[in-house]
Amino acid sequence: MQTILLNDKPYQTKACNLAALAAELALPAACAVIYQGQVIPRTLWSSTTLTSAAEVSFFNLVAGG
Amino acid sequence: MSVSSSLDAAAFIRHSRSIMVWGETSQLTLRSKKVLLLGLGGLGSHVALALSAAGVGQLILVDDDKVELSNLPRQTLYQQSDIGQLKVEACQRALQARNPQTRLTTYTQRPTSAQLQQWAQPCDLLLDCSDNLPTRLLLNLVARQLQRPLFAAAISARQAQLYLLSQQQACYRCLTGDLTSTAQNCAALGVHPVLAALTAQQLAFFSLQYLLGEAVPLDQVALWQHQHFEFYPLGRDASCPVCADDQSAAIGHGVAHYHQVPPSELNLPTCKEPS
Repeated sequence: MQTILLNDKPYQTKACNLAALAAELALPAACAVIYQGQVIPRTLWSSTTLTSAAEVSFFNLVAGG
Repeated sequence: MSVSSSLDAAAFIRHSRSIMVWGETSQLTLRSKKVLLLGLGGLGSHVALALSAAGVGQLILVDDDKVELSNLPRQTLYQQSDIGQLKVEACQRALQARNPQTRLTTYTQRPTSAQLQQWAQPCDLLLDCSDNLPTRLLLNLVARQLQRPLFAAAISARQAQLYLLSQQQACYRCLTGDLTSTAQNCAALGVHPVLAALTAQQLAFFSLQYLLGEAVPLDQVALWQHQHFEFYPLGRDASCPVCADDQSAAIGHGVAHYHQVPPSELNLPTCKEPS
Protein backbone atom coordinates (compact mmCIF):
# COMPACT_ATOMS: atom_id res chain seq x y z
CA MET A 1 0.00 0.00 0.00
CA GLN A 2 1.31 3.44 -0.91
CA THR A 3 -0.04 6.96 -0.87
CA ILE A 4 -0.21 8.95 -4.07
CA LEU A 5 -1.73 12.32 -4.89
CA LEU A 6 -4.81 11.49 -6.95
CA ASN A 7 -6.55 14.44 -8.56
CA ASP A 8 -4.93 16.71 -5.98
CA LYS A 9 -5.95 14.61 -2.96
CA PRO A 10 -3.98 11.96 -1.00
CA TYR A 11 -5.09 8.45 -1.94
CA GLN A 12 -3.93 5.08 -0.65
CA THR A 13 -3.64 2.38 -3.28
CA LYS A 14 -2.45 -1.16 -3.74
CA ALA A 15 -2.00 -0.56 -7.46
CA CYS A 16 1.55 -0.79 -8.73
CA ASN A 17 0.98 0.84 -12.10
CA LEU A 18 -1.44 3.17 -13.88
CA ALA A 19 -3.48 0.39 -15.47
CA ALA A 20 -4.00 -1.26 -12.10
CA LEU A 21 -4.94 2.08 -10.58
CA ALA A 22 -7.52 2.72 -13.30
CA ALA A 23 -8.96 -0.74 -12.68
CA GLU A 24 -9.02 -0.18 -8.93
CA LEU A 25 -10.93 3.06 -9.45
CA ALA A 26 -13.30 1.37 -11.94
CA LEU A 27 -12.83 4.27 -14.33
CA PRO A 28 -14.71 4.44 -17.62
CA ALA A 29 -12.80 3.43 -20.72
CA ALA A 30 -12.73 6.89 -22.23
CA CYS A 31 -10.40 8.54 -19.78
CA ALA A 32 -6.80 9.67 -19.91
CA VAL A 33 -4.18 10.21 -17.27
CA ILE A 34 -1.60 12.80 -16.33
CA TYR A 35 1.27 11.24 -14.43
CA GLN A 36 3.94 13.48 -12.96
CA GLY A 37 2.90 16.30 -15.25
CA GLN A 38 2.76 14.36 -18.51
CA VAL A 39 -0.14 12.78 -20.38
CA ILE A 40 0.67 9.08 -20.65
CA PRO A 41 -0.31 7.09 -23.76
CA ARG A 42 -2.88 4.42 -22.92
CA THR A 43 -0.59 1.61 -24.07
CA LEU A 44 2.00 2.65 -21.50
CA TRP A 45 -0.31 2.56 -18.49
CA SER A 46 0.62 -0.97 -17.48
CA SER A 47 4.33 -0.26 -17.74
CA THR A 48 4.19 3.03 -15.84
CA THR A 49 5.06 2.18 -12.26
CA LEU A 50 3.39 4.12 -9.47
CA THR A 51 5.76 5.56 -6.93
CA SER A 52 4.91 6.87 -3.51
CA ALA A 53 3.74 10.51 -3.56
CA ALA A 54 3.37 10.44 -7.34
CA GLU A 55 0.93 12.97 -8.75
CA VAL A 56 -1.79 11.35 -10.82
CA SER A 57 -4.83 12.94 -12.42
CA PHE A 58 -7.43 11.18 -14.52
CA PHE A 59 -9.65 13.11 -16.89
CA ASN A 60 -12.46 12.24 -19.27
CA LEU A 61 -11.64 12.28 -22.95
CA VAL A 62 -14.26 14.36 -24.69
CA ALA A 63 -14.87 14.52 -28.40
CA GLY A 64 -17.75 16.94 -28.74
CA GLY A 65 -17.58 19.90 -31.03
CA MET B 1 -1.81 31.42 -53.43
CA SER B 2 0.99 33.83 -54.28
CA VAL B 3 2.09 36.42 -51.79
CA SER B 4 1.92 39.95 -53.18
CA SER B 5 4.25 42.52 -51.72
CA SER B 6 1.59 44.72 -50.15
CA LEU B 7 -2.04 44.93 -49.19
CA ASP B 8 -4.45 47.09 -51.15
CA ALA B 9 -5.83 50.13 -49.35
CA ALA B 10 -9.07 48.53 -48.27
CA ALA B 11 -7.32 45.43 -46.92
CA PHE B 12 -4.80 47.60 -45.11
CA ILE B 13 -7.53 49.60 -43.43
CA ARG B 14 -9.52 46.45 -42.62
CA HIS B 15 -6.56 44.82 -40.91
CA SER B 16 -4.88 47.99 -39.64
CA ARG B 17 -5.37 47.15 -35.94
CA SER B 18 -3.93 43.67 -36.44
CA ILE B 19 -1.06 45.07 -38.50
CA MET B 20 -0.18 47.25 -35.52
CA VAL B 21 0.24 44.03 -33.56
CA TRP B 22 2.07 41.78 -36.02
CA GLY B 23 3.06 43.92 -39.01
CA GLU B 24 2.05 44.03 -42.68
CA THR B 25 4.42 41.23 -43.68
CA SER B 26 2.68 38.89 -41.27
CA GLN B 27 -0.69 40.01 -42.54
CA LEU B 28 0.44 39.10 -46.05
CA THR B 29 1.67 35.78 -44.70
CA LEU B 30 -1.78 35.08 -43.25
CA ARG B 31 -3.34 35.83 -46.61
CA SER B 32 -1.15 33.16 -48.20
CA LYS B 33 -2.22 30.44 -45.76
CA LYS B 34 -4.73 27.64 -46.25
CA VAL B 35 -6.47 25.92 -43.38
CA LEU B 36 -8.79 22.94 -43.34
CA LEU B 37 -11.47 23.14 -40.66
CA LEU B 38 -13.45 19.99 -39.93
CA GLY B 39 -16.68 20.65 -38.03
CA LEU B 40 -18.66 23.89 -37.91
CA GLY B 41 -20.52 23.44 -34.64
CA GLY B 42 -20.00 25.11 -31.28
CA LEU B 43 -16.24 25.21 -31.76
CA GLY B 44 -15.67 25.30 -35.50
CA SER B 45 -18.12 28.09 -36.29
CA HIS B 46 -16.28 30.45 -33.92
CA VAL B 47 -12.88 29.36 -35.26
CA ALA B 48 -13.98 29.89 -38.87
CA LEU B 49 -15.14 33.42 -38.13
CA ALA B 50 -12.00 34.29 -36.17
CA LEU B 51 -9.61 33.05 -38.87
CA SER B 52 -11.53 34.59 -41.75
CA ALA B 53 -11.89 37.92 -39.99
CA ALA B 54 -8.19 37.91 -39.10
CA GLY B 55 -7.30 37.53 -42.75
CA VAL B 56 -6.39 33.88 -43.34
CA GLY B 57 -6.42 33.56 -47.12
CA GLN B 58 -8.28 30.32 -47.69
CA LEU B 59 -10.47 28.13 -45.53
CA ILE B 60 -11.66 24.67 -46.47
CA LEU B 61 -14.82 24.07 -44.44
CA VAL B 62 -16.24 20.59 -43.89
CA ASP B 63 -19.49 19.69 -42.13
CA ASP B 64 -22.51 17.60 -43.05
CA ASP B 65 -24.91 18.92 -40.38
CA LYS B 66 -27.76 21.37 -40.62
CA VAL B 67 -28.40 24.23 -38.20
CA GLU B 68 -30.84 23.31 -35.42
CA LEU B 69 -32.64 25.43 -32.87
CA SER B 70 -30.63 23.88 -30.03
CA ASN B 71 -27.40 25.03 -31.73
CA LEU B 72 -28.13 28.74 -31.53
CA PRO B 73 -27.12 29.50 -27.91
CA ARG B 74 -23.50 28.49 -28.54
CA GLN B 75 -23.16 28.55 -32.34
CA THR B 76 -23.66 32.28 -32.49
CA LEU B 77 -22.52 32.58 -36.09
CA TYR B 78 -25.91 31.18 -37.11
CA GLN B 79 -29.23 32.99 -37.12
CA GLN B 80 -32.76 31.85 -36.41
CA SER B 81 -33.34 32.06 -40.16
CA ASP B 82 -30.52 29.54 -40.76
CA ILE B 83 -32.38 26.69 -39.04
CA GLY B 84 -32.63 23.78 -41.44
CA GLN B 85 -29.82 25.10 -43.65
CA LEU B 86 -26.52 23.33 -44.10
CA LYS B 87 -23.96 24.72 -41.67
CA VAL B 88 -21.33 25.08 -44.38
CA GLU B 89 -23.70 27.24 -46.41
CA ALA B 90 -24.81 29.38 -43.45
CA CYS B 91 -21.19 29.70 -42.35
CA GLN B 92 -20.06 30.65 -45.84
CA ARG B 93 -22.70 33.40 -46.02
CA ALA B 94 -21.76 34.79 -42.63
CA LEU B 95 -18.02 34.76 -43.33
CA GLN B 96 -18.39 36.32 -46.76
CA ALA B 97 -20.59 39.05 -45.30
CA ARG B 98 -17.84 39.81 -42.79
CA ASN B 99 -14.77 39.47 -45.02
CA PRO B 100 -15.31 38.71 -48.72
CA GLN B 101 -11.55 38.48 -49.27
CA THR B 102 -11.32 35.04 -47.67
CA ARG B 103 -11.50 32.24 -50.23
CA LEU B 104 -13.88 29.59 -48.98
CA THR B 105 -14.22 26.03 -50.19
CA THR B 106 -17.03 23.98 -48.68
CA TYR B 107 -17.83 20.29 -48.47
CA THR B 108 -21.10 18.99 -47.11
CA GLN B 109 -20.41 15.30 -46.75
CA ARG B 110 -18.94 13.26 -43.92
CA PRO B 111 -15.53 12.74 -45.49
CA THR B 112 -13.71 9.56 -46.37
CA SER B 113 -10.02 9.18 -45.78
CA ALA B 114 -9.30 9.73 -49.47
CA GLN B 115 -11.38 12.91 -49.56
CA LEU B 116 -9.71 14.28 -46.46
CA GLN B 117 -6.31 13.56 -47.94
CA GLN B 118 -7.21 15.43 -51.11
CA TRP B 119 -8.67 18.42 -49.28
CA ALA B 120 -5.89 18.61 -46.69
CA GLN B 121 -3.01 18.24 -49.14
CA PRO B 122 -2.64 21.96 -49.96
CA CYS B 123 -3.23 23.12 -46.39
CA ASP B 124 -0.73 24.58 -43.96
CA LEU B 125 -2.73 23.56 -40.90
CA LEU B 126 -5.53 21.10 -40.11
CA LEU B 127 -8.10 21.98 -37.47
CA ASP B 128 -10.38 19.44 -35.86
CA CYS B 129 -13.61 20.69 -34.32
CA SER B 130 -15.61 17.56 -35.15
CA ASP B 131 -17.99 15.87 -32.75
CA ASN B 132 -16.97 12.23 -32.62
CA LEU B 133 -13.91 10.12 -31.98
CA PRO B 134 -13.81 8.15 -35.27
CA THR B 135 -13.71 11.37 -37.28
CA ARG B 136 -11.01 12.77 -35.02
CA LEU B 137 -8.92 9.63 -35.45
CA LEU B 138 -9.40 9.77 -39.21
CA LEU B 139 -8.15 13.36 -39.47
CA ASN B 140 -5.27 12.47 -37.15
CA LEU B 141 -4.30 9.68 -39.54
CA VAL B 142 -4.48 11.98 -42.55
CA ALA B 143 -2.45 14.64 -40.75
CA ARG B 144 0.33 12.14 -40.14
CA GLN B 145 0.19 10.73 -43.66
CA LEU B 146 0.53 14.23 -45.12
CA GLN B 147 2.86 15.47 -42.39
CA ARG B 148 0.64 18.39 -41.46
CA PRO B 149 0.21 19.87 -37.98
CA LEU B 150 -3.13 19.06 -36.36
CA PHE B 151 -4.72 21.37 -33.84
CA ALA B 152 -7.93 20.14 -32.24
CA ALA B 153 -10.49 21.23 -29.70
CA ALA B 154 -13.14 19.17 -27.95
CA ILE B 155 -15.85 20.01 -25.47
CA SER B 156 -18.61 18.40 -23.44
CA ALA B 157 -20.58 19.94 -20.59
CA ARG B 158 -17.97 21.93 -18.58
CA GLN B 159 -14.98 19.97 -19.90
CA ALA B 160 -12.84 21.39 -22.69
CA GLN B 161 -9.61 20.14 -24.22
CA LEU B 162 -7.11 21.35 -26.81
CA TYR B 163 -4.54 19.31 -28.70
CA LEU B 164 -1.70 21.13 -30.45
CA LEU B 165 0.10 18.41 -32.34
CA SER B 166 3.09 18.83 -34.63
CA GLN B 167 4.11 16.29 -37.24
CA GLN B 168 7.09 15.00 -35.27
CA GLN B 169 5.87 13.95 -31.83
CA ALA B 170 2.93 12.13 -30.28
CA CYS B 171 -0.29 11.97 -32.26
CA TYR B 172 -3.91 11.84 -31.11
CA ARG B 173 -3.93 8.05 -31.51
CA CYS B 174 -1.13 7.81 -28.92
CA LEU B 175 -3.56 9.31 -26.42
CA THR B 176 -6.64 7.27 -27.24
CA GLY B 177 -5.10 3.87 -27.83
CA ASP B 178 -7.76 1.42 -29.02
CA LEU B 179 -10.73 3.55 -27.99
CA THR B 180 -13.39 3.84 -30.67
CA SER B 181 -15.84 6.12 -28.90
CA THR B 182 -16.26 8.40 -25.93
CA ALA B 183 -19.34 8.55 -23.73
CA GLN B 184 -19.13 12.30 -23.68
CA ASN B 185 -21.14 14.27 -26.21
CA CYS B 186 -23.17 17.43 -26.31
CA ALA B 187 -26.49 15.73 -26.99
CA ALA B 188 -26.18 13.56 -23.89
CA LEU B 189 -24.41 15.87 -21.46
CA GLY B 190 -24.97 19.36 -22.79
CA VAL B 191 -22.31 22.00 -23.26
CA HIS B 192 -21.51 25.31 -21.61
CA PRO B 193 -22.17 27.86 -24.37
CA VAL B 194 -19.53 30.38 -23.40
CA LEU B 195 -16.90 27.75 -22.63
CA ALA B 196 -17.38 26.55 -26.21
CA ALA B 197 -16.68 30.04 -27.52
CA LEU B 198 -13.72 30.47 -25.18
CA THR B 199 -12.21 27.14 -26.23
CA ALA B 200 -12.70 27.98 -29.88
CA GLN B 201 -11.03 31.34 -29.47
CA GLN B 202 -8.10 29.68 -27.73
CA LEU B 203 -7.77 27.33 -30.69
CA ALA B 204 -8.05 30.23 -33.13
CA PHE B 205 -5.37 32.13 -31.21
CA PHE B 206 -2.88 29.26 -31.40
CA SER B 207 -3.76 28.68 -35.04
CA LEU B 208 -2.90 32.28 -35.88
CA GLN B 209 0.27 32.02 -33.79
CA TYR B 210 1.31 28.96 -35.77
CA LEU B 211 0.45 30.45 -39.16
CA LEU B 212 2.40 33.58 -38.29
CA GLY B 213 5.42 31.55 -37.18
CA GLU B 214 5.06 32.66 -33.59
CA ALA B 215 5.40 30.58 -30.42
CA VAL B 216 2.94 27.73 -29.89
CA PRO B 217 3.11 25.11 -27.12
CA LEU B 218 3.29 22.21 -29.57
CA ASP B 219 2.74 18.58 -28.67
CA GLN B 220 0.74 19.43 -25.60
CA VAL B 221 -2.74 18.75 -24.34
CA ALA B 222 -4.53 21.66 -22.70
CA LEU B 223 -7.29 20.94 -20.20
CA TRP B 224 -9.80 23.45 -18.88
CA GLN B 225 -9.12 23.30 -15.15
CA HIS B 226 -9.60 25.83 -12.37
CA GLN B 227 -11.06 28.41 -14.80
CA HIS B 228 -8.16 28.34 -17.25
CA PHE B 229 -6.33 26.04 -19.65
CA GLU B 230 -3.45 24.05 -18.19
CA PHE B 231 -0.93 22.50 -20.57
CA TYR B 232 0.63 19.05 -20.32
CA PRO B 233 3.09 17.41 -22.71
CA LEU B 234 1.67 14.38 -24.50
CA GLY B 235 3.82 11.28 -24.23
CA ARG B 236 4.45 9.27 -27.36
CA ASP B 237 3.46 5.65 -27.86
CA ALA B 238 6.42 3.85 -29.43
CA SER B 239 4.04 1.22 -30.80
CA CYS B 240 1.44 3.67 -32.15
CA PRO B 241 0.08 2.30 -35.46
CA VAL B 242 -0.28 5.85 -36.79
CA CYS B 243 2.94 7.65 -35.92
CA ALA B 244 5.43 4.97 -34.88
CA ASP B 245 6.99 4.83 -38.34
CA ASP B 246 8.27 8.38 -38.20
CA GLN B 247 9.62 8.24 -34.67
CA SER B 248 13.15 8.61 -35.93
CA ALA B 249 12.31 12.28 -36.20
CA ALA B 250 11.38 12.51 -32.53
CA ILE B 251 13.40 14.93 -30.47
CA GLY B 252 12.57 13.21 -27.23
CA HIS B 253 9.92 10.87 -25.94
CA GLY B 254 6.94 12.90 -24.92
CA VAL B 255 8.90 16.08 -24.50
CA ALA B 256 6.87 19.06 -25.54
CA HIS B 257 8.56 21.74 -27.53
CA TYR B 258 7.70 25.14 -28.85
CA HIS B 259 7.53 26.26 -32.42
CA GLN B 260 10.65 28.36 -32.51
CA VAL B 261 11.23 31.33 -34.74
CA PRO B 262 14.75 32.39 -35.78
CA PRO B 263 15.46 35.91 -34.58
CA SER B 264 15.96 37.02 -38.17
CA GLU B 265 12.35 36.10 -38.94
CA LEU B 266 10.83 37.80 -35.95
CA ASN B 267 8.52 40.68 -36.63
CA LEU B 268 9.89 43.21 -34.26
CA PRO B 269 7.21 45.61 -33.08
CA THR B 270 7.05 49.03 -34.60
CA CYS B 271 5.30 51.98 -33.03
CA LYS B 272 2.53 53.41 -35.14
CA GLU B 273 0.05 56.10 -34.35
CA PRO B 274 -3.51 54.75 -34.28
CA SER B 275 -5.54 56.19 -37.10
